[in-house]
Amino acid sequence: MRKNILITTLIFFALLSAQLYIVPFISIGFISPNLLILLLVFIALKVGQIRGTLIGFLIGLIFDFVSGGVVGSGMFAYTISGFTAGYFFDENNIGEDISFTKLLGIIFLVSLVNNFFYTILGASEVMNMSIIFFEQSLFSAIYTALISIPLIVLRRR
Amino acid sequence: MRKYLKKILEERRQYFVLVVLLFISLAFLPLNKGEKLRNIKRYAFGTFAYLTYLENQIAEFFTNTKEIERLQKQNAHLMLENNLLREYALENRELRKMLSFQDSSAYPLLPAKVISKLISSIQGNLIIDRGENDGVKTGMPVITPEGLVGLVVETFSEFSIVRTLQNSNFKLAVEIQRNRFAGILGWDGINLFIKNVPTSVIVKEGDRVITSDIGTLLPPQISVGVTMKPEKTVSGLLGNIFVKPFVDFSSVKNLFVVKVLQNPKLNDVKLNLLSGE
Repeated sequence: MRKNILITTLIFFALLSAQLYIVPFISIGFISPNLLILLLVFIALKVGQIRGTLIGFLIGLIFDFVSGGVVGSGMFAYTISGFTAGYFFDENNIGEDISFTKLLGIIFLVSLVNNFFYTILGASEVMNMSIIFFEQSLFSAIYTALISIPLIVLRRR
Repeated sequence: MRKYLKKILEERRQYFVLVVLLFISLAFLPLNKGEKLRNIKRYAFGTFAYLTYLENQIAEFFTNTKEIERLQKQNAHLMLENNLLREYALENRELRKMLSFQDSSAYPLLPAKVISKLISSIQGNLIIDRGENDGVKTGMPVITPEGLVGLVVETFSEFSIVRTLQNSNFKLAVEIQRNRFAGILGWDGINLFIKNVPTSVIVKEGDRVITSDIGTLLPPQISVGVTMKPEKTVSGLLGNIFVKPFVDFSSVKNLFVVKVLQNPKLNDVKLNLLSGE
């Protein structure tokens, strides 16, 4: 159990670092994959909705403090993301045999939710909702889902 | 009643946890300007920035950046000088003598590297490898040889956070160099724009936009970008002018902190954009 927590923490910091250092190189304008969402989805599908929500909150908290962004926006977005991902938790099937398309769909949905709330809460003034939804949230969610494909394939093997 | 509530709480625990955590998250939003939160941020940020800094150093181990740095510094100086020369061309000689403009090319430039970025359409931030130990202070402008990148908003001993122009919390006093029209530049998540410009102001596509003399936080005549096609509002009286920045924010890596504060006294007053979170 402790070993699992330690490994997950290490993976989290590696992904956080990659999110802030490597992702800018592979982003297309503001369309960028969210690596932390991948971790959150995988964890939430294993531990359930309540713990997924709590872990999402913690991920958001750390992300806000180290990214230089508005503290609270990431916390809110990742908490909802953890909750959303945890909704798909199945006690009888703890994430191991989940189908490829379903997992891809969950990652896409959770990423969409995350991007949407993160953008809304970080903006200082009211922005165009269609811009927030389509240009900032949808395309980044698609990118995140695409990036997750090799990971899903690897995980299934 | 108590039993009933307990039952509901047990059955809907996940929603209860969600609501509590969301409230806590929202409670943090107004605390962003507070000193307590800033101290926690300082500690967390400082620790993590070392990690990314190390990664950065490893990545650049095999590249000779000294010469690139020197040339970029020279370019940045030339950009500032070039802007000043444009100003001279536009102003009358006598007026220029009277005003005795400061030679902006003499601004001390401190080379810095971007160690990490927050890719966000509304919270454009950069973290640079220069901090208080190098003399960086909150409010100092950050430029590249192409033009203005942003403003230092937080400083730590070894690192600083730069708020870029692509941050919806960043509002900047600018002017169109050709006709001297001054306005406030903002970011809407997609475009940089000068809001509510009277349609009587003639703006041509490609007009240079520079920081304004009336700005309180940035030295004047730093290149910002060029105007794009003006957009008229429904009323037809006012419009937005979109601005294409000179700096490519997605690829910016090496930059310079201009070690000058527009007015040190104003630094303590916490004006408009610095308190705009």
